[in-house]
Amino acid sequence: MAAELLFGLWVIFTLVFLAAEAASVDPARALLGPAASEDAARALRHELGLDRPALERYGRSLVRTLRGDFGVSYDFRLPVRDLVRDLLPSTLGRAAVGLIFGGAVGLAGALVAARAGFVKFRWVLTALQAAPSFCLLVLGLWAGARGLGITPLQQRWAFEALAIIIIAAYPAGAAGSFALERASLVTPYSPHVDFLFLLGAPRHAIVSVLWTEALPGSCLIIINSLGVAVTGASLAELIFGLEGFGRYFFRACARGDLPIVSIGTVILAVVVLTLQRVGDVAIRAIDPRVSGVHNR
Amino acid sequence: MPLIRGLAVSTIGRSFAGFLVIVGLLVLYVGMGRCATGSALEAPGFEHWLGTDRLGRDVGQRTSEAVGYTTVISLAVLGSSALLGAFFAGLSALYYERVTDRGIVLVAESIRAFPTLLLALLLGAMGVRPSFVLILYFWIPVWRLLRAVLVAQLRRPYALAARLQGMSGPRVVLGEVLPNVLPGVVPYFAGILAEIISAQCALEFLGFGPPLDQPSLGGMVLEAFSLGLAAPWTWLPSLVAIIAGVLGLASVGRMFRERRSWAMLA
Repeated sequence: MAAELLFGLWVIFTLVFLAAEAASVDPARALLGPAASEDAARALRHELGLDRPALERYGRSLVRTLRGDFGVSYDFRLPVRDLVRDLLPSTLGRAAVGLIFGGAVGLAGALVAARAGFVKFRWVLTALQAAPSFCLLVLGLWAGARGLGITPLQQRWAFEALAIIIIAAYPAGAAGSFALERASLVTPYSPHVDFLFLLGAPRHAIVSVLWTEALPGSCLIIINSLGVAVTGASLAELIFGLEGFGRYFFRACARGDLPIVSIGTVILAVVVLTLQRVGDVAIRAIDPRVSGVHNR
Repeated sequence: MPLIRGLAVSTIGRSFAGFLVIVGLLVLYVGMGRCATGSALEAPGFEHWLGTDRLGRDVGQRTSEAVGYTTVISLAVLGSSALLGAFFAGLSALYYERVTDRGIVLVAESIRAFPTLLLALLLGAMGVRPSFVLILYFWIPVWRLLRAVLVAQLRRPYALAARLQGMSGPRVVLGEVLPNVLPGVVPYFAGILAEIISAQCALEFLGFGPPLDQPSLGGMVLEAFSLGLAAPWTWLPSLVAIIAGVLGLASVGRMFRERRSWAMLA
């Protein structure tokens, strides 16, 4: 697992480096500003090692990143490490709360629907899973402002809660769909369900058994939804104006602030991939029958 | 089986008929000349059914053009992703569980584990067209789907017989197996298309869309967002089109998956 995780991180880092190489942004010119002379830009490029061969720059960049030196933001003129340290926990916190809340609601809803035989609930879960989060966030902002007369500046807690609910939609739909599909007694029965019916077990008990069996797989789906939750949290910060790393990341992408874009991507990849791999191992330790992330 | 096949066909027929009706209404709307420029921010009325935007442009026509643009781009991304995914699926099936397959699995899982939008933004910030990024991302679900199906089919007697007759592995995959499996796999593309449209519109909303003279669904929402979401008729049609399109395709994808499950068990 560790080897696969490291390989995944290396792939992401290399992709980011290659993309930065292909970008038309000159880091030295971006740091000095357009009014700086070419001699000054050349001297800074030499100082930063930007005139070295690409392979050497790749190696140096990898070593610096491993040491925690993420460079300076072109836009904010601040060390990227400080921005990451101060803002990333907010984004990850929103994503985590949304993930847990969504997973719990989805699983609870699936259990209730399976027990009641209300299989059409799967269409609600499909809609939750598929709904584009930025559309829901824009609608939420408009409804809050026009309908209730509140804005994120006035009632920050209300929009924080709304952001959490919208972030929770995807994991609720995904985990709930999986659990409902396995716990519902409308789909063709597996042999052990037939056996439980033969024993005269009541319907709700059989549903509970199936739902419990589906729990490890559902938890794996929730963990694998972390990337979507982080994206949703970042969009919520952008649209509602909440404080967090996502808002700065989007702004950096629009303005070509490569240090934030590059390091933000790598750090998010580290967090997402690590949590997913750890969760994958943990779930499979609980239930070895669950197929892992690779879904072979 | 005939009953299930009939149900699937009739549902496909109804869905296609519904799509043609919507396209026909849009053509009728534009053809009736409801697209002339009017005064700025006119509310919906007889002259302009969906009102006008801040530059006096008919919102209905712009929304129609945006739907067409987003649909064309998304279908192009889907087609390219399908080709790329089929290529890698063939490689994985031919070298299943060996170094080539394991390498493709690792790369695919690494890319897929990362948030689509953030990866697209990263590469978009570097100057890569967002459509190429979406192709880089969405070949993976096609690959995953086809890989499982191809591996199973390559163990069937007809495929083994073709190999015994001296056909090469790639020729068996391309000539014998792929034509067999494609009709069963294509319906799953509806769900993938829904994800592509969602990601495409989100990128347009974040400013990585077409030039200003080309309306796009996400771009129309972005324009309204930057102006404080005033005059809801200027952006609500785009938002509704995005949500309806994505949810509709996701539901169709789910429906096909369920019918296939029943058909396999029948």
